Amino acid sequence: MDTKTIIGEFKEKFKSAILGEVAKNEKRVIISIKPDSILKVADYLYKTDGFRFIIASALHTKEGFEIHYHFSKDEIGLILNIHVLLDKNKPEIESLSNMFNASNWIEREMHELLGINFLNHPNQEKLISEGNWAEGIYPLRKEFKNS
Amino acid sequence: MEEQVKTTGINEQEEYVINMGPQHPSTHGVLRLVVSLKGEIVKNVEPHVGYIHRGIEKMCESITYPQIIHLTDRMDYLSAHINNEAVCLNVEKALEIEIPDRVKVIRTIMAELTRIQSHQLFWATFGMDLGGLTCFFYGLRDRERILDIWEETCGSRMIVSYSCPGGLMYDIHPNFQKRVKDFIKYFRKTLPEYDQLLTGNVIFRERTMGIGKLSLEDAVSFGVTGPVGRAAGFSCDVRKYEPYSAYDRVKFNEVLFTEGDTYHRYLVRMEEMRESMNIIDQLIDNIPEGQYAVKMKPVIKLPEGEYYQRVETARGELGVYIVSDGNKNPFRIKFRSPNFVNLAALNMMSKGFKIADLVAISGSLDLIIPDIDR
Repeated sequence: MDTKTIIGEFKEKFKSAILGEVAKNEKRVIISIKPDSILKVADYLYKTDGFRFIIASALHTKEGFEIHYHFSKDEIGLILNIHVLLDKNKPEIESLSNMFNASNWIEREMHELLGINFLNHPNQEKLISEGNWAEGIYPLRKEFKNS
Repeated sequence: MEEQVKTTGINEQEEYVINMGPQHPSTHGVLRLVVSLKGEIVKNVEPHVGYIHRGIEKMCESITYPQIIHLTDRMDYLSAHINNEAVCLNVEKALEIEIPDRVKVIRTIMAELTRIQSHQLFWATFGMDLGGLTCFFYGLRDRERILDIWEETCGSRMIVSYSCPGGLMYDIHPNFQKRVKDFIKYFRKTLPEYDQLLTGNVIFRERTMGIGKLSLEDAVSFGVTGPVGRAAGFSCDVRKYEPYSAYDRVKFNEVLFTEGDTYHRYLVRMEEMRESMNIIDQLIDNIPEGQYAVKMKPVIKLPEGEYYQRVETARGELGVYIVSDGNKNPFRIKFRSPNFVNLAALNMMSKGFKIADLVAISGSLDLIIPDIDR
């Protein structure tokens, strides 16, 4: 299995959900998808295609909130980035924690630092600040300035 | 009368909660574990982190790339050099700069020395956690030799900041090669002592074998990497499947076990020290001549886009994810720190074991708290 077949099959399967694709090189592919299809995509990657969840990073851009999921296929050293763009005013997405445990803590962290709401998360409590931080202030958002 | 017994919990009917930390010698930092117990058996462990959260990711958004190097030292301070390397490799990859061979080889030697000293400290503190105080003195005695080598070359003993985008801060000291070779010769002789003292010890084996088991499926599901993952049979060595620096020109084995218990997590690290010495052996006499750094622009600006680089630290896969908007500061930087991911598996691993085993299990994760909190 090489990168081309894996990505080709993936694109064939999720034709309607894919918004854009950037293939940087053999080992790095970036695909943007619609947020509502994340559960199906993650399920296919993790259970059928043998990808492993590495990490997710959220960022606050002008358009809204983006989450970049990193999946890794270790045998060929491929990292597949799945990008989703969430609404500016009400960032919400399905949680992946019921599928694999690795996303549990990182989703809690994103919830706490950026205010993204993860639906059906088993335990979306504060992880880092634990009651020492004001409600509704999210340090990793761009309006929060470093002093 | 019966009522009274129930409320005091003597008959072990009730579940009760013990607070372990934030200041507890076995957590090696400020980590708080809220442990639910039934009798002596652990029912649930809830780690509370964030006591030393410094917001490194946010800080990085307002500083330049060469400055970020110094902050990465402060995450996993025992893998300081490898953390530096990760950011440097990412910046170099983004700028498409070709790095001299000399730099690649020196970085690899430094990274392997980092791995050895980190595992030495693991061995020292792990033995101490389980009641063998002698280990602490042996481990730190030998680790001191590596720190001395670093002091001579990097000017600093632990927080080295030796790599910078484009190469190294300074060239190696003329004594470097000789001292590293002396150290390897010395440590080859001393490492069997480690085994005699701890690995073969009956009490140690009883306390670690079969304790805190992690299956391969759980290892993948939790995404644990490094020695914790490899003890469970999860082949996750970044040096093997995505070689960086000079790892493509050396021969070494990935240490893999299938048992996934505390004892085998310990064994992986012991074997890795031997593998690291083999890697250094192959490189130390073949450091190519050449520049120790390429000339970089005074202000480093990454082209717009996103860049991910992963490296293998002493604890697992460290990922550095940079999103750049073309400025001299990153738009967003994310560190996928191995300890953050590994700690999440602690609850699953320690359920059903005794509270004294919890110390052994959390010790075998080799946690560095600043790396979790970032």
